[in-house]
Parts: sequence; structure tokens; C-alpha cells
Amino acid sequence: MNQVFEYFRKLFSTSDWPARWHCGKWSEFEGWLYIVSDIMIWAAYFAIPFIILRYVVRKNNAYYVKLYYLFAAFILACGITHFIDAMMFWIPVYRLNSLAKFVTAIISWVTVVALIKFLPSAFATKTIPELEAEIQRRKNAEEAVRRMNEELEQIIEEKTQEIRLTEFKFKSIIENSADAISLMNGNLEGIYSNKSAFELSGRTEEESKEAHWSTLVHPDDIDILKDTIAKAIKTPRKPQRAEIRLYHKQRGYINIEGTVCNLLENTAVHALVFNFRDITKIRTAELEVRQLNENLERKIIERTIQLEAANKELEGFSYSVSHDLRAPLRIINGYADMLHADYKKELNVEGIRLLDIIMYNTRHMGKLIDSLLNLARMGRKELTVQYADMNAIVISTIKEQISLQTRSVTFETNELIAVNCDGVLIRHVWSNLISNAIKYSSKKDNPHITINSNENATEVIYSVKDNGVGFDMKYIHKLFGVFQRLHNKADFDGTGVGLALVQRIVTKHGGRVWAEGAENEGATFYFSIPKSIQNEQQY
Amino acid sequence: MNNNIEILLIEDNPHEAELAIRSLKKNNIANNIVHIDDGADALDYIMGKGKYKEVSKSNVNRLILLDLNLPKVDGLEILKQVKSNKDTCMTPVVVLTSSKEEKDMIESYRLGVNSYIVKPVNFESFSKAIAELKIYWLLLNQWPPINHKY
Repeated sequence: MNQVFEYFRKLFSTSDWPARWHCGKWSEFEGWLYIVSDIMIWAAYFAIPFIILRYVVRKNNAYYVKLYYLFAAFILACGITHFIDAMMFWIPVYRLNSLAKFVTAIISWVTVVALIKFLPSAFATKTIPELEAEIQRRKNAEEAVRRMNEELEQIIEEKTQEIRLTEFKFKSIIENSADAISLMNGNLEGIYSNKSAFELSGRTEEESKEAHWSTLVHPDDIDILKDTIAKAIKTPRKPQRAEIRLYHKQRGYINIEGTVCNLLENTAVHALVFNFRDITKIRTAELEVRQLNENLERKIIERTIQLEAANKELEGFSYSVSHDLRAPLRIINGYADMLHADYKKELNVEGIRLLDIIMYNTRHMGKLIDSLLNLARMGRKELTVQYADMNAIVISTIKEQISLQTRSVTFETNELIAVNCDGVLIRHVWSNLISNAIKYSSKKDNPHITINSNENATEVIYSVKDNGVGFDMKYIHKLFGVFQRLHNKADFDGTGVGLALVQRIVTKHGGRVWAEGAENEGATFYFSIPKSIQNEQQY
Repeated sequence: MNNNIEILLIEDNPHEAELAIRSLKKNNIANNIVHIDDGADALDYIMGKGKYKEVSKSNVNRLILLDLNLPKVDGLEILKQVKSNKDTCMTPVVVLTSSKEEKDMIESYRLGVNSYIVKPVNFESFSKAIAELKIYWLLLNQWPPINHKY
């Protein structure tokens, strides 16, 4: 202890050792090299702590501040030992020197301990290239993130644009729909209505706010609408149809039709959707059509009654013709016959000629009446359509006609196409056409009659062609008229009813009659029977 | 020829009647011809009623030639009564008419007419028809026994 006490008492004493210059043999160079080196180390060691301190002060965020301070202190202390070492050449304060070294040693070890303690985090600390690489990496990552963000933003922008466009599209569609579309919440309060919805009742948006929509519904139809809404609420997503009358501001009650659909559970819509349209025009048109139909039916009934009355009248008429006209005619004929039979001797030639003319004409009138009655009866007769063997009908008709003839006639008959028709009536047609053909070719040297048939998709066409006197096509319109004759009675006898009868029978079958001819070059008469003829067909 | 057969002509038009009778005679029909020009009278005659009460209705075979268009009681009514009466239903009735009306013919056959002749306008044809009538009813036809009780 005494030594330690003695040590500190003589700390600055220079008396116990010679100055270093005098200790040993120092050449000038050796001594000054030592001194200068020590002074330079000291100067450097003295500067370094200031630089460190300056660094620490400037970079106050620097890590390990304490370590820096320790470094500063340790370097400073080292510097001091070197300075004292240099000083020792002149002032041999060995004790002070050892103290300085001891202090330096303490600080150095403290530093060593601190360094060891901080070594792991010192290891963790990156070097500058590492840091730069790290920074570059981070920069790159940041860049990538930034780019991705940009891309994301762009995508979002595009999607937003798309959604906006879609929304705009649907909004435009709904906004411009001709149908009135209204959305209502569960309490039946309006959420949205398109233009047509306002137009439907003839009101502007402002006017529509004045009255609740339900007050515009016809009182008789309000229950229909309520029921429809109730039904719609019970059946989500299923549109329920309704037709009601709505009060239009200018036009009064109009008919509207449409659906109520419960989309309350649909998160996008969340409403009752009313989709209605004005069908007044359709309803009015329907009403008109119905009225027209009723009118038409009434008219048909009226006409039928008139027609039936006319038919009755005609029946009455034909009855009179049949009985009342025939009877006197018979009597005239009968008495003329009596005159002829009983008083022939008292009449001269002229008297007999006159009497013959009377009898001839009464007979002719009788024929006229009979054919007229026939015509009327054919008109009234209902068709009995069944398969008819045209060949058989024609052959028997020809036989019948030939038996009435004295002259020979050549017939050329081709195989005829069969058709369904009223055979009894069609026989009259053949009979008339064939007898006409015989009659009008009777003045030819070699009468030749050709009978043929032909068909198209809908009808069978029959024809009777003769090589007789024919007719002038300019009178064709008179050919089928009642009592119309193209030849005088002296040349060709006839009543003028035959072709009218032919036409009546054929048109009753739904067919057509026509003729072709030229004067003195024969004539061809055609008639057609539709293939699809039904029973009881009336024309 | 069965000359015991009485021919009853029911015809309101005297001219028609004359022509018919002449035709019958021309055809050498010598039978008794009775002409009545009124429907009601004719029925009385056939049934032996009214002013014809005295005329026996059952002691003679009779052929009725009937016109349809008659005053008071028309021909179809007479036909109906004759054919629905058990005493007269076997009497042959021939309708002789000017009418070509189909419904008259159908109705007549429905009521049981024995023959239906439409008188032709032509007298010669009419005469021919009467001749045929004679051949059938007076020469060929077998009559039921007189006084036959049904």
C-alpha cells in the first residue's frame, strides 16, 4: 500500500529515472525517429476521436454510439501514452506514463468487452456493397411493386370503366325502354321509375309525386293488382302477370298489362319490379274486331234470313211456274190438239199451219218451263259427293244421245281421270255438253266429237271438242247465261238453259267452266272439278 | 177390261177435267167416270157422307185420279184421309198433277199414293200417260174382292 501511496505522491516526479535521451545510447536519428513517430501517432490519435465525435454528432442516428465513444476514448488514451512516451526523452515521468497506459489498458478492455458484446449486431450490420446490393434489390422490388400497383390501378380503372359502361348500358336500356319499369321497396314505395313509367300515366316526375300510384288504378282493378303483388311476394323471382286499368292524365282510363316480380331478395336489385305496358290499342282493336264480328254475324244472320226468305219466294215461284203456268199451257195445248183432231177437216191449209205453230210454241214453252225448273232445282239440290266413274257416265250418256240421233257421229273418247263428285248432277253436265256437241256439229258431213281429261295439282279438267259450227269468241260472255243463245232457233233448236245448268252444277262443285271456239271451226267446252271437293259443299 | 171399276176424277179446273175425260174416252175407257171439282165434296163422296150419303161406298171398286191443287180441301189432305181410313185405304189413288214440285211427290208417296203422274204439257204425251194408266190399273192390276171386310 505504501508503494501505491508513494506512486501517486511521486506521480509527476522526475527524480528517480534519467530522461530517455540519457538512458542508453540514442543517436540523434534514433531518438528523433522515436519522438517524431510518437508525436505523429499522438496527433493522429488525437484527431481521430474528434472525427469520430463529429461523425457521431452529425449522424446522431448512428448505431452503437457508446461504442463510438469508447473507441474515441480508447484512441485518445492511446494517443496520450504516445505523447507521454515522446515527452519521456526530456521529462522521465514513468509513473504518469504507466498510469496513462493503465487507463488506456482499462479503456481498451472495456472496448474489447463492448466489442464482444456488440459483435453479433456488428456482424449483422451490412457492408456498404451489401447495403448497396440490398438497396438495389429493394429498389427493384419497390419498382416491381410500383409497376404492379400501376397495372392494378389500370386494371381497376378499366374494370371501373367497364362496370360504368355496363351500368350505363343497362340504365340506358331501362331508361329508354318502351315498357314502364318501376322498382318499389317492400313497403310499396317507389324507388325508381323510368321515363315510360311516368309517360304511362301521362304525368311528369313531379306530377307523379303528387298522387300515390295506387290511386291511379281503376277501383275495380285495385284488388287484382293487390292479389298480383301478394302472389309475387309469395313467389320470389317469378313474374306474376296482371292486366288492369290505369288513370291517364289526358286519356282517362287505359288498359295496361305486365308483370310484378319479387326481386327483394336479389341483393343487386332489392325491389319489387313492376314492368307494364299500354295495351289500350290492342284491347280497343280487339273490341272493335269483336264488335265487327258481332255485326258481321248479325249481318250474316240477317242475310241468311233474307236469303232463306228469297229461297222460299223462289220455291214459291218455281211452284207457281211448275203448277200455275204449266196448267194453262197444257190446256192451250190440249184444246189446240182437240181442235186439230176434231175440226181438221173444216180448216184450210193456212188454218192448220197456224194451229201447228200454236202447238209447237206451247210445247216449246213447256220445255222452257221444265228446263227452268230443272235449273232452279239443281241450284237448291245439295251435293252428294262420292267416287264417280267418269268413263261409265260418259259412255252411257253417249249411248243415250246417239239413240236419239238419226245421223252418224264419230266419238273419240280417251280414258278419263276419275274424280269425286255428285255423279247424278255431273251426268247432266255431260249430257248437255255432248248433246250440244252433236247438235252443233250436225250440219257437218262427218261430225267428230273428242272427249278428253287432264289434270293439274288441284283439279281435273274435262273437255268436249266438236268440229261443228263453233262460235265467235266475242260472244263468249253470253255463252253460259240463262236464255242466251248464239244461234237462231231455225238452225239449232234449244231453250238456252243447258249451258246455264252446266255452269250451275260445276260451280256448285267448286269447279269452273269455259269454252274456246271460232266460227265454223268447232268448239271445245271445258269444265273442272276440284280434287279436294267435300260433301255438302255449298256455293 | 174391268168395267166395274169406277173412276173418280177430282179436278177443279173444268178444262183440265175435259181434257182428262177426253183422254180417258180416247183410250176406250168405258168405265163410269165421276168428276168432282171440289175437295170437300170429293171427300164426302168417297166417305159416303153429306149429300153423297145415299151413294154406297163399299159396293164398287174405285180408282181415284187426284189433282193436288184444289179449293177448300187440297189433294194431299184427301189422300191422307183416304189412306188413313180403314174402309178406303185400299182404294188406289193416282195423283195427276201439273206440278213438278218434288216435295209434293215425296209427300204423296209418304202418304201412300199408288202412283204419281206429272201431266206433260204436250197433249199427246198426256194421252200416252193415260193409256199406260189404263193398261196398268184397268188391265193388269188385280183388285181386292168387293165388300171385303177388313
